[in-house]
Amino acid sequence: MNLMLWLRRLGCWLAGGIFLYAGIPKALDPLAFAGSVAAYELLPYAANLVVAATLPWVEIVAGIFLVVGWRVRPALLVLILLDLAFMAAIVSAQLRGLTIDCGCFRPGAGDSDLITALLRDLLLLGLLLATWWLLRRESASPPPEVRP
Amino acid sequence: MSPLAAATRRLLRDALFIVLGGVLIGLVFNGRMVVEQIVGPTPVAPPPELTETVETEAVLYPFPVSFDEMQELVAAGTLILDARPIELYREGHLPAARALPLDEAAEGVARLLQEEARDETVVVYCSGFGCPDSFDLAQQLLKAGFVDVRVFEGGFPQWRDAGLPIRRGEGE
Repeated sequence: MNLMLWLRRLGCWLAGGIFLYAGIPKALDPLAFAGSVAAYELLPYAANLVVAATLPWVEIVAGIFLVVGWRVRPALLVLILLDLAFMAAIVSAQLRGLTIDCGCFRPGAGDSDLITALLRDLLLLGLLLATWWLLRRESASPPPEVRP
Repeated sequence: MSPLAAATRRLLRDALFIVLGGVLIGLVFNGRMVVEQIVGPTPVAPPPELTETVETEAVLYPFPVSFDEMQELVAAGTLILDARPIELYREGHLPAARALPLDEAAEGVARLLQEEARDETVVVYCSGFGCPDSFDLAQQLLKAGFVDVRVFEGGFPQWRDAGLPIRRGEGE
């Protein structure tokens, strides 16, 4: 086992764990999360509810795939796109002068302002991209020689 | 098809399956909640042996008001109370709604008792969805003696997002 393989696995476990940690509390309280989504004032009323009912489960499914190491590349792609969407929503809220909680982890927790949330999402994006790069490097390298 | 294009197609297909899988699980768990929030809860008749208990409990439970009913009540000039913090009320509220933030409920309800008849219909709203302030204020109004207290669960977000007129500032 080489270092790069373990680094890639560590990246998958860490990123998967973060999205599970973020997704489970929101999946358990979809109404409160709908309030957090609505606070961004980006979607109509019913769409906020549908997003709140489904988005945490996409995070959870992709997070599980990363942790167990199955379909890692598509799971990474989904989470990278989600992270970019979160960052776009946060930037949009910041530009419109909204003073809201990001709703990233526990809904309505009020534990982070938008700038902190944006920086956290940037770090998470870095982790996802680094894991993606390690995975590419792993699949591009030739298989180890088998000694007779 | 080149191996790269095939790999990309497979990647996109698997990513789509992950998204659809998550959406499907979410709808299985929460589909009923979504429908109830949008069109209102399905009324369920209590079993006969529980009727008395349910009626006793119902004294402290305000009636939910659907979005369509809310428009009719606003048009009819019903007494509407905004249970959100006063800053949010100033940023925008339903036409003719009065501010009665939950944290000022004690004085506000006492004042309302002097100004309005107890059989007056009162509708309370807050920030919609899981916002509990309107329900809590409605319970305080019922405890204080108002007999027809209702809660517009969609709250300000549903009203605003439907493009209906809102009013800013101190209002009434």
